[in-house]
Amino acid sequence: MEKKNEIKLVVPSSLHNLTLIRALAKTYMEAQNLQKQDIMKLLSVIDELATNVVEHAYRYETGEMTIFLSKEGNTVHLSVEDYGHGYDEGRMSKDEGGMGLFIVKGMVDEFEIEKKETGTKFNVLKEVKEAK
Amino acid sequence: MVTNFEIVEKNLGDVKVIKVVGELDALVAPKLKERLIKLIEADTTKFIIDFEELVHINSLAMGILRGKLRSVKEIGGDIKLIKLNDHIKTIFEMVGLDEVFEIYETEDEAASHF
Repeated sequence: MEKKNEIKLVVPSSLHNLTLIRALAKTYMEAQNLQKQDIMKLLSVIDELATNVVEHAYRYETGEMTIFLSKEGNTVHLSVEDYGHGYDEGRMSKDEGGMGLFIVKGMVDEFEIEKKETGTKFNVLKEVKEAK
Repeated sequence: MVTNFEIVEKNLGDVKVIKVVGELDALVAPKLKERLIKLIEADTTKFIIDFEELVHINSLAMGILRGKLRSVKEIGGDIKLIKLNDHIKTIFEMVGLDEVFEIYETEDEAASHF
């Protein structure tokens, strides 16, 4: 059974949906009274992971991603899940990319890549503070 | 889908000042890239990029800036950044771009270092 402060966003994989994803996630985090710095960091994390799904998991083709957010005490749990091509460490990003997952790891307390039979689930834990 | 992104330009002598407003994500980053390419093709080599009204930046956009910095440096130019907010400064530091770009607080300060 879902807890009251969990949300799940199911969004078509497209760069055109990044603004929407960030806006929905921001609204959720503001409702949870997170401090601004933590919201900014988590929005960067969500944006990098969602971009990764569009670029690598679905390679700009049709697909779906599920973004899950919850807050328990002072910890935010975030996951971004896709059902596309599995995560491949060896697959190099284009010249201009490659920094995304590095940024994600630097912004959070725990980061895990869960390889599924079809697709990948990125799991994140971040300690947060509440806004004063 | 509406994007919250805009580029505002002005000239400061032979320096092009580009103010990036809003959210610079992977969807709109190519627009900044195309604009920089056009300006460089038109012989602009000195750039100040103003991030005062930038609220979000994606790694792809940072990669584009890093690539264009390399291009203009090869032809004697530079891209200097100004007015990064704390969040964006943190991301730049995280990936080491704070040591690749010259970063200043004001337009005048940046302009005086060309």
